[in-house]
Amino acid sequence: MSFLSLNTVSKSFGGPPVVDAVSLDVQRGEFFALLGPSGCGKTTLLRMIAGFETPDAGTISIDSETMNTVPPHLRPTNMVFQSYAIFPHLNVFNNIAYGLRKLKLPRDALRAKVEAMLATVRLEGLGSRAADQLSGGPRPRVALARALVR
Amino acid sequence: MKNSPSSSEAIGHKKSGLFLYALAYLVFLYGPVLVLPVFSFNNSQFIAFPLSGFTTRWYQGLAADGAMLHALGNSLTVGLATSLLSTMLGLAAARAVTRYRLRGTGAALGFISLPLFIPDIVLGLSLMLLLGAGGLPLSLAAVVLGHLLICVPFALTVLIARFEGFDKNLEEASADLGEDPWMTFWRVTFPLMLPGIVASLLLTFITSFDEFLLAFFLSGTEATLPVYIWGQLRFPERLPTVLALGALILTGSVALVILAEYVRNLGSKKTMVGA
Repeated sequence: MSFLSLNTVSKSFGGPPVVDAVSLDVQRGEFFALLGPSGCGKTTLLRMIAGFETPDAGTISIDSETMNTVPPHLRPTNMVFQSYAIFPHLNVFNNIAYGLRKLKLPRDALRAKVEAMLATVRLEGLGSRAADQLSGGPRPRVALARALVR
Repeated sequence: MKNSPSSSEAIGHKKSGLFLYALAYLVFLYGPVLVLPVFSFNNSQFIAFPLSGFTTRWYQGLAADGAMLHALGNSLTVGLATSLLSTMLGLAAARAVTRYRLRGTGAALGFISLPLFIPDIVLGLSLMLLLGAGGLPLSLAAVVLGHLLICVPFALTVLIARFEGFDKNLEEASADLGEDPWMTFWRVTFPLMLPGIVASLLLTFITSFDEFLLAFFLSGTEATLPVYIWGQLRFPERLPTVLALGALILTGSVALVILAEYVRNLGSKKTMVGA
């Protein structure tokens, strides 16, 4: 059984279908790329998997559980937004630690986890930098680190 | 090249003319307001030039005036209640307008703003009649309800501008990282909205605090400060004390507006870079 499974998923925003009966399967650990011209529905499909849009028809399941009615904050998905959506009022460290609050880690373990992730994306020492002072290069890496750390 | 001295002279004339106009305009705007503090320190009960010496006795009289302080207390209560309620209502409405595609948004916004264009005297009179017909007493609570009508549109305008200033993906990112809508509001929306919320609180407080007509119709026996001051104008000997109070309120209002602008600028800088 595949880990992520889409079965004839369709979506329209009141006009012609944006996503038309898409079915696909992704195995655990598989590196899966979705390619296509602008406006073909890649983002809409991703947003449906993350839970920000509801499919008009079809089912989305993760780990054999149907996700259609599960709200975004309860889905085991993490996304890097096109605009990166880095929280401007938090520093880099707290941006990456944002999703770890629910784990209730001890302070040291939390720090270690975030520092390790900072090292993975080669942003060592930038943890205390204010998010709105980041230049173009590190921004996608912060967004990626924030999504991967969970 | 031959023309240049005369043409630059013409520009110079134009500039000084413009400067004089701007100066005259500022005097016209703020001259009358400055009369208030000046006469509040004048040692005579008659409001006329020439000034007759410096005194602080009107300010001392103010501190001893129980009725006036009571009216001040009423105005502060009404102002606080109005600013909190209208900012909360405005926040909910502004979020709905900017974050969801709802039917009738335009109409709803129009109707919310409509009371701004209805003369206050009509609004006050009809609210008074309505309360009477419903058997409800005139009270400070009635004044708060009346003030909500004119304050919510202000709150809404300030807050919508602020909501449009930040990426709605930020709230989605929070949900994506596992926070429910309630915690997303407190960890992302509220901190980013804070400058707008503060500006809205100050703006609606000031609007309510110096509002006269609605308060006049709806306050019943509990006068707010503007209503009380209006009542005092019948007694000429009370006028200098009213001026002293006016000068204090003026100072407070200016300070609040400056504070509001400062906080607003603080916030807009942040989102510019974040976007």
